Amino acid sequence: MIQLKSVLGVIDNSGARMVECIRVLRGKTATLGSEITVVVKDARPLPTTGMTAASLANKVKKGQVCRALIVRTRKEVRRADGRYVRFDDNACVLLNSQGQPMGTRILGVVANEARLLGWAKVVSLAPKVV
Amino acid sequence: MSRPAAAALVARHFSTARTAAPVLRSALTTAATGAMAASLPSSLLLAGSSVINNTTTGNSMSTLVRIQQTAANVAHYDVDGRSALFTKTNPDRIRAGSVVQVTSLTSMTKGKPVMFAGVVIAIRHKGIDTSLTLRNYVLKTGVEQAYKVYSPMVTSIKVLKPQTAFVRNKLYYLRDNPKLFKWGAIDDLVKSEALRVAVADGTAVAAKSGGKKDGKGKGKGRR
Repeated sequence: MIQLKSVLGVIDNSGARMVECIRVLRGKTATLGSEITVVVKDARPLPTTGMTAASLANKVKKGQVCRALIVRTRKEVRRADGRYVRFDDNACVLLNSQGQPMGTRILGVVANEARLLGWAKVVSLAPKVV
Repeated sequence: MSRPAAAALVARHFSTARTAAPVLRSALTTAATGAMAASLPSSLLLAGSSVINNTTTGNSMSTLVRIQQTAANVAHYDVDGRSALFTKTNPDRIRAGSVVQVTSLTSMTKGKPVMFAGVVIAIRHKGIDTSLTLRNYVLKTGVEQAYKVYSPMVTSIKVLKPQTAFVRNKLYYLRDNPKLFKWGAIDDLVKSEALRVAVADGTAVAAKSGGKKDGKGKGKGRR
């Protein structure tokens, strides 16, 4: 149940650490597998040396607005057979305007709902899917 | 859902014949129809069960019939005897604090079974709706999964370690106090269970089963 002002952790290597939801694209609250618009609240500092221009372009800065896919929620989500899944935190993966993941790796577990809603590319990067 | 379609669906999912369930249902039905007139609401009828009377004349249902209907429902879906794990009179039932491994399907049509093991933090006893909540840490994130125990997508429930040292029936306090349980022990129990199954099936070499005592510590909660 992510809504306006919800803070989520970012679990890819796009550079962001925490983002805040500023818009839910469909409806008032968003859940696993939904897309939201976020603003980056906290980002890893960009290294001064050792990064090419191409990889720097993919790193986000604080204050940047981008889209995100919710991959973990603290609110339990029901699956078709009556099963419920709940995580200990709210987490997302950043997407660019075309819907492609901004990072190249995902660090952490991801819910299966993302795959069911068509985000197979994101889910394939995840080390573990629950 | 139409009756023939419902029967076909059930037949497709439960291809192994369960001889115990029809006997129980027919025994209950004779008692039910003997004791009560036709007062079974259609919403509680089992899909494909032509044995149970379909006439619905009243909206109310006596407690006796409701208990019998629940028992029939549970018996219908109690494929591998797992209801024994949730019977309150059974001393070996699953209790909050046991470590349990659940194998389930993510889809009825494709995909391999997925295994999730964890501490039981809650059991909700509601007949056919009985559910089991497991908690574990996956890649340092706490994950809880609540399974409907009689769902056909839950293929097996195994107790890896029975409950000890927990007093409460609901262990929600473990979310805020993770140090009260050795979470690393769950992975060890899963591995030793997988090894035990492999040895029993004969797929693992018997000599290997003696050499699994490695002392490497890994992950938090190991101590």
